[in-house]
Amino acid sequence: MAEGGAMTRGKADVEQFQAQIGRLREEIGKVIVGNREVVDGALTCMLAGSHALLEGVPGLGKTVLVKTMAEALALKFSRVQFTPDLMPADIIGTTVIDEDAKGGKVFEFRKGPIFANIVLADEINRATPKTQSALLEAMQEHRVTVAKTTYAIEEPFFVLATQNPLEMEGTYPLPEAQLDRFFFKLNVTFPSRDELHMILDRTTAGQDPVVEPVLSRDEVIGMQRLVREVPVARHVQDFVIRVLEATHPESKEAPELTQRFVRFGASPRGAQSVLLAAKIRALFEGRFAASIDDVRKVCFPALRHRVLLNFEGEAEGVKTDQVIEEILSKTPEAKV
Amino acid sequence: MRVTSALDGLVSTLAVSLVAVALVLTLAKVWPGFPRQGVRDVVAGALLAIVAQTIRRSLRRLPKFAGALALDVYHGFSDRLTSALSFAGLPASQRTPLMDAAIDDACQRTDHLSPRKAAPFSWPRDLAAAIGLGAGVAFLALLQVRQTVPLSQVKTIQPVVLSADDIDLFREVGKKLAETDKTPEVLAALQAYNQLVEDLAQKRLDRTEAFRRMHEIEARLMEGRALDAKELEEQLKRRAAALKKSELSRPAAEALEKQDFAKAERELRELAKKLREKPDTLAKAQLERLRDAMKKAAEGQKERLAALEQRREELRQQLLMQKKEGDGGISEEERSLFQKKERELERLDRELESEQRASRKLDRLDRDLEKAAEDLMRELGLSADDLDQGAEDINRIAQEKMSDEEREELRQRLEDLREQLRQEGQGGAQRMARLRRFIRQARGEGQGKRQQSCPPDDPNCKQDEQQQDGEGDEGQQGQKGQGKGDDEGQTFTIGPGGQRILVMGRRPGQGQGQPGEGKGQGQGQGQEPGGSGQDKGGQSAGHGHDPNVAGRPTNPKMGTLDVQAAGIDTGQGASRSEVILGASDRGFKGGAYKKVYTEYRTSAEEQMHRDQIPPGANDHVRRYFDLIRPRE
Repeated sequence: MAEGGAMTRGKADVEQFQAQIGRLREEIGKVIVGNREVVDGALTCMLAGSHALLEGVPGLGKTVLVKTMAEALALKFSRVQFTPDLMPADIIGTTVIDEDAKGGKVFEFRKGPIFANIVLADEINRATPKTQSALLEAMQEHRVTVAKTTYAIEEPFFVLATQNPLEMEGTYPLPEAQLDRFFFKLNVTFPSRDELHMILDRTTAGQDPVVEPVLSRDEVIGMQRLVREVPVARHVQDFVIRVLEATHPESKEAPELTQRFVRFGASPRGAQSVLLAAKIRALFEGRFAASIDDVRKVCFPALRHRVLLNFEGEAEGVKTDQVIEEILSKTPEAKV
Repeated sequence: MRVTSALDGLVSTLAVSLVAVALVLTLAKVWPGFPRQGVRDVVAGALLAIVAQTIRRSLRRLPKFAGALALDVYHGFSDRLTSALSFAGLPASQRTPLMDAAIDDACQRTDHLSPRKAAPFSWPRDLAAAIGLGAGVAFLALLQVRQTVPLSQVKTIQPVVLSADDIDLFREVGKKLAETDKTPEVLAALQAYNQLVEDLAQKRLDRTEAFRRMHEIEARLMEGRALDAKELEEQLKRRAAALKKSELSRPAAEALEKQDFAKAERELRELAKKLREKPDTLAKAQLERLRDAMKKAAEGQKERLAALEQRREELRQQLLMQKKEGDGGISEEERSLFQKKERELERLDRELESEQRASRKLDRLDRDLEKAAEDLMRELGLSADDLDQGAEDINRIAQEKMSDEEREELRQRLEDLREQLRQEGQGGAQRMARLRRFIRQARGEGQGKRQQSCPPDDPNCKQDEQQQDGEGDEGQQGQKGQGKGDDEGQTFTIGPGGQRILVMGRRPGQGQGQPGEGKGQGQGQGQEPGGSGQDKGGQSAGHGHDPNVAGRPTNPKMGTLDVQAAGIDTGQGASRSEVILGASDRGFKGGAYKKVYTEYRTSAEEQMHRDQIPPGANDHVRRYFDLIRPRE
């Protein structure tokens, strides 16, 4: 009986998850046209308790997406426009001298924009590495230390950073170590003609679509917890490991493209990202366990910023997605 | 899945094996030396590999959830079944609610599973390749490749090169020997000799082979030559001496003594005829003497042989005795005597053997004489028949003796040939050059005819000429200046005592050579004191001109007088030197030359026989005469 009850609870949790996600997608869909993968990717990152890097040319709705997500989730949202003169304190916050009730002088910490549930770090590569580091430390630790005092950032904490791939002048590309801290790197692509029609219809009419909050903070945390409970069969996990190994040029599993054009393969954090994303995708699909198909789907956004091409690869114009595609095609599914 | 895997392995291995077999077959077709066993080994190895791979694939463990994965893939279950199986393998306590839900979910989908479709039988991937390769291998196996069998490389030899003149000489010898009747042994040897000469003429033999063939012919000649001619002569003389004691057999005995076998045969036949037809004219005493003479002639040799045998046996016994006595130690004198006796015994052995050989040859004649002697007193007719038979024996002996002579001549010619080859092989190019020059001179081709003496196929000719000039400096001939003069129209003949006499007007040209050209000529003059007066070179030669070289100018106003004189025939003909000179111009032809040649050659042979000529030069002398021999 107990087993049957647990099973029912499991099913109920998954069904509830699907319903919540369905509602969330629906609300986001009121504003965001198309870009389903980017939306799902962003949601995946949020549910994984991690962060996303969005790359795309200006005007594709990156900022709108993040704002819409924040509105639909009824979470605290802040936006930081990264510029070269932006300082870490501008993000984290600063300590100021203030008067207490008795008229005495006290130091008071004024929290920066980082203290929000959803943070949009717009054009993150325009800030100096020092400022980037301040943000990335908070992203990793979910807390900020200022003047020997540590301030925890409220959960869920989700940073969405954007960067423009075209304008490289005056930018500070993120170092590999910092890129690794992003769960996904999502490429925001240009919308199709139909999608453009819809965008124009919605944004040029008299009324802007209104997004209602559909998920509370607690519900989001509950969903994050459920994600962690999704089981993964050994053969799926083994597949993830073999894919990870194949990204390393020195590995015997590495296909030709990897051996020729890859400088560094993905770190174990990459495998964690893949597996966690696969679990979330399984839940999106209403399944109780992650599958190899899920892994295949999430490998691109989870690994594309973790596989670093060598000079020859860059000179040849090889894309990391090509490398990942070959790895996936050459890695056998069953070796258990 | 296992069957498919096994089949896949089988076909893949088959394809690889077929490639290997095709390679080996190709090798075997194009390379005749490829071992057949190698092909069989490769085919056997390929079969073994196929069987082993098939068994291995059949027994190989499939991935743990290969079936479930196939079902998931086919039905689009997104690993539901595989994951459920994986979770189900865990203890219940370790399973989470989601795992249970995943298992339940998978179970709900098992109703419509189709394993056959999920893992359908599929033809091996390499089947087409294997079939193609199989066809190729079959084609290769049936293909007949034209193989070029490399012929063993023809062994090149360095042939013995004899001059055409020498070859002609040896051919003539062969022809001459073939003119008379021959015993089969001599005939066979002669054929072998002719073949040898032809092979030499065609440059088909190298030195080693030529010597080997000569040795073979000689061995064949010596094989049939069992009789020692000298011993035979001696024994015939002894028989003749015995037969002389009867006046009836004396004419035949005398002929036999003189080795006139034809006459001896004739006389014996005459005697037989007389015995047969005119027995009345013969006195009994005559017949008695004849019988005694024939008997003695027949038995004399037996007695002699017996005496020799007895003497030999006695000597042998003495030696044995001395050897036994001498075991204890003998003096030096005794040892010397012993050795002398040993040598005497050896001599007797040789003599006995020689006598026995000759006796065997005359054995039939002895038997006939003995029988004739026995029959003489009983029946004269029978005795006459025996004498006729004896005459036949003499005829046979005569033939054999003649054959021996021819054999000896052939052997001598072989010896000449061998000596010639030996000389050509020794001394290198310089000696060969000297030899060639000698040949030209011997053939009457003076140095003035140098150009003519170069055979077109003789590469050594030029070198030869250079050698000749060089040797002029050494003063061997001193003919350098003379040669030039000859070229310009001078002709010489041989005068008395070997003098060189200039013959004017025989050829167009200046008629006078350069008066000496340096050292060569001067030295040459010194060695030929009887040489031409034209060559005044001497030690001061090579400078200036004879002021009277052109003589006095002809006075055109001077009148001429035609005088006619009849020739006087002395009946003596041309002088020897004229004959020789004329014959050399005509290629050594003519009866007069033959006569002169024979005379000179005989004289030369006599001189050689008397050891008047150094033995080392004998060959050269013979060669010289061979080269200037009369031609038909």
